[in-house]
Order: sequence, then structure tokens, then C-alpha cells
Amino acid sequence: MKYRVAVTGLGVISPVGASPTDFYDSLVFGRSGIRTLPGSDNVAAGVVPFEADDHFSKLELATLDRFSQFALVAAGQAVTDAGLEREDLTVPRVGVYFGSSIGGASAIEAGYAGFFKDELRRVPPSSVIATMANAAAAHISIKFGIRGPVVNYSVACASSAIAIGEAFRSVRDGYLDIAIAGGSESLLNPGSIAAWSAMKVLARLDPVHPEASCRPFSRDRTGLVLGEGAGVIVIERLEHAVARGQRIHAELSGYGIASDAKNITKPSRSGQVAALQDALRDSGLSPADIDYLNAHGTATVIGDVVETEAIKEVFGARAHGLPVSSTKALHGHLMGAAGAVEFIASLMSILNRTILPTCHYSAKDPECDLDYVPNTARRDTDVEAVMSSSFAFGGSNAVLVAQRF
Amino acid sequence: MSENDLIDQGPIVEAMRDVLAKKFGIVRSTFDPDEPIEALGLDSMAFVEYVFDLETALNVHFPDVPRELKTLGDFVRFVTAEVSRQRTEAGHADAQ
Repeated sequence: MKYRVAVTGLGVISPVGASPTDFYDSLVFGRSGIRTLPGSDNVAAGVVPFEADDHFSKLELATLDRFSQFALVAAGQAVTDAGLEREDLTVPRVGVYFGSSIGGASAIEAGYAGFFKDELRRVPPSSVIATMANAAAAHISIKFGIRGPVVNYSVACASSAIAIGEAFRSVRDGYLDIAIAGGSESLLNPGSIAAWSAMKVLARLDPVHPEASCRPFSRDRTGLVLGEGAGVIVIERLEHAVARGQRIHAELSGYGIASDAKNITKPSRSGQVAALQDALRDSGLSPADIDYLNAHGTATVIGDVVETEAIKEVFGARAHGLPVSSTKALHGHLMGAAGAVEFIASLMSILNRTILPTCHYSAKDPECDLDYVPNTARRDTDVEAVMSSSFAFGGSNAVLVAQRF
Repeated sequence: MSENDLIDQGPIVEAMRDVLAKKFGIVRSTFDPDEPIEALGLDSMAFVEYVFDLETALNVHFPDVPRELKTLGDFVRFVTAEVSRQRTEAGHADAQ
């Protein structure tokens, strides 16, 4: 027996908005959250304006890394949006499916920085529990009393797309009634930035317009911009949502996952094609049914070309008529949170009947020749079905499909 | 020196209150010696973190915090004794 799956709650903490509505407004109006990273003179980043003290006591903060803070706030939004109370979540058949690539990057860096400076070689004991990648999932479970599966997927940039996909399967296959799913990442700390810079995949900071440093699919793109944030959704068995009279944002109808098995960093068309096809097959839709694709679109020179080729292979004649955009131009690459945050962008596209643009697009690349919805949103458009792609270092590719309900 | 003097005065108790306030936002003008340690509102992990920050503030190392410590009085006496012991040892080391 397969069950249909409804999305009933949304929560976002991002560089362009700390609620689904603010986030969506920024994406539609082209408001960028990318800035010169404080403390740096040549790195662009999507930093979340976030005062931890507004949300947590000092006692709570003593053991909460920033990525768990984002996760808890976004999960709170999603649960409220879904009209759920704690007592609805402490029952059996509820789970947390979360994604984070690194986990508590700030906690581990601060802990080790102290270790190497301190003659006594001391590291704060909280480093262990603040850093562990499943900390955010665990804190969500503790906050809401969720006693079913509480798991974390650490699959680089596909972490939260996979978390949502696996949660979807658990609900669809009848194991769970409700799942809180999503991801969180916060790694804009000096050590992580230095490592990413050394990989030579980061965008050059635009000295005049730092906010426009990330330019997916545009010929003048120079690389990705790191961002931080969290995206969380509540999904449930569709009948469960209907029975309690809850508003349904959309139906989550497909999940595809496939791997490149080729190279640890360089993406491969065949793996992406397999994931896109798998997601389409899973949803029962054909290429012609998809109205919008929220691309992985990191704005690396190679990545955008490979993704374009994969889309063309899967969509065939439909490819050039399919609006494809990357909202990363505005919020940056949220790593483990990217899949969830961009899936929420895709859902907002359905809800608002609006195709989101690829901002900072200035010149056509002959190798990237799809309709990237340059710079301007398309309103009052039929958006019935959307796809959202997430492709990870390591070669894991995940694609989600949602439809209007 | 009476028990209350031990609990409410002296630089060690002051440091203990100071760390509690700075790290956890828990402000205590007094430490009741008979009060259970749990009354501070720290769970076991936060208590371990508290001990770590106390070590930093007092520049000592507690080899282990005995499980039989029950009250704030027990805890203050333990910290005071450890600080005194380690400073004495350090003094001897310097003298040699």
C-alpha cells in the first residue's frame, strides 16, 4: 500500500529571509543576501542576520552550535505552519529526517583553535555534542518530543534533499504519519572558508557589487558562493492532513536518487540524468508535465554546463521550453541545507504561481543554452508541477518533485 | 570562618558565581550550602561545561569531579580544596 504525501508546514532561515514569505519575496524581487564576508576582504558569502539571544537562553546556547539554532527556529516555524502542537508529535509514527553536511562547524573550529593555542591542550566538553552532525535532528526531536526515527543524512550538498526524499518514502510506504524533514548548515567560519578557498571553486568577489558575485549559468560566472541557513518542512500522509482539516501546501510526489560513481568532485551527466529520470518515474509525470525546475546551479564553470547537458538529455524537446533557474544567485549555496531551502522555493513557486528568476544573469554561455528565467520573475504562470535538484560532492544526486494539490 | 562566609565570600565563590552568570545567564547572589547542585538548573552536560569553564577561570585542572558531591556546599568545598592543593603544589614546584 502506497500513501500520498502532503506538505503541510514550511520553515526557512536564510540569508534572504527568516520566514518562507520573506524568503520568497526576496527571490521574486531579486534581493540578494550575499555580502562581503565580515572579517574578510575577498570572500563573498550569504550570511544569515541572526541574533541567537533572541531565540535561546544562555543555558541552551552553551551546547547549541549555530546550525542547530537555525534548525530549531526553522522547525518551529514549520510545525506552527502545519498547525501542530507538541502533543500531536509525541505520539508514535512521527520522525525527524534531517540533513547536514558538516554539523557544528563553528563549535569544532572554536574547540580546536583553543586546543592548539592552549598549553594544557583543553577542548570544551560541549564540542562533542555541539559538533555532531545529528545534533540538529536530535534537538528537534527533544524540543517536540518526537520518538520515532530521528536521523541525519550527511551527503554534502544533497544532504537535506535526501533527508526529505527518505522521509517521503517512509510516509508513502506507511511507516510514519508525520515527518519533520529538512536540513541546516552553518560553516562560514574562517577555517572552513580557507579550505573552500583553497579548492578554487569559490566565486570572485565582485568589488563593486558584492551582492551580485554569484551568477549561475551566466557566461561571466566565476564559482559558487557559500551561504548558511536551514529549511524545514512538515510532511504527512495526505489522508492524515485531510482528516485534521489542515491546509495542504502541495503534494510531494517524487524522489529520485542516483550516484555518479566517477569522481569525488567533478559532476557527471549520467548520474544526474539517472536521478532526474528516477524522480520523474517516481512521480508518474512526464517531462512535459514539469513547469519549473529549481536547478542545483552552483555557478561553477563546469557544474552549470554538466547540469545543462543532463537536463537536455532528460527533457529532450521539452528542455528549451522548460524554465530552469538557480536561486543560489541570491542566497548562495547552503550546502547541507540547500536541498530543503530550494525545495521550499519550488513549493512557493507553485503556491504563488510564479517562476523564480536566475538573478545576476548578464551574458549567454553557448554551453548553457536553456531558459534560465534571467533576472525577472514570471508571475501569473501555471505552475502545477516542479522539480528541485541537488547534486553533491561525492557524486550523490537527489531530485524532488512536487505538485499542486 | 563560618559556613556562610565560605559560601558567599571569597574569590573562589565569586568566580563560581561569575562563570555561572556569564556562561549560562544564571545569576546567583548567594549559594545556599544545603541547596542541591541540581537546583542551579544545569543538566549533566551543562554541569560538565560549567566545570570546564571554572577550570579556565581559576586556572586549575580538576582531575575528576566526585559523584558524591550533592550540595552547593560540597561543590564549593571541593573546588576550594582543589584550588588550594594545586596552588600549593605549584608553589613548591616554583620553590624548587
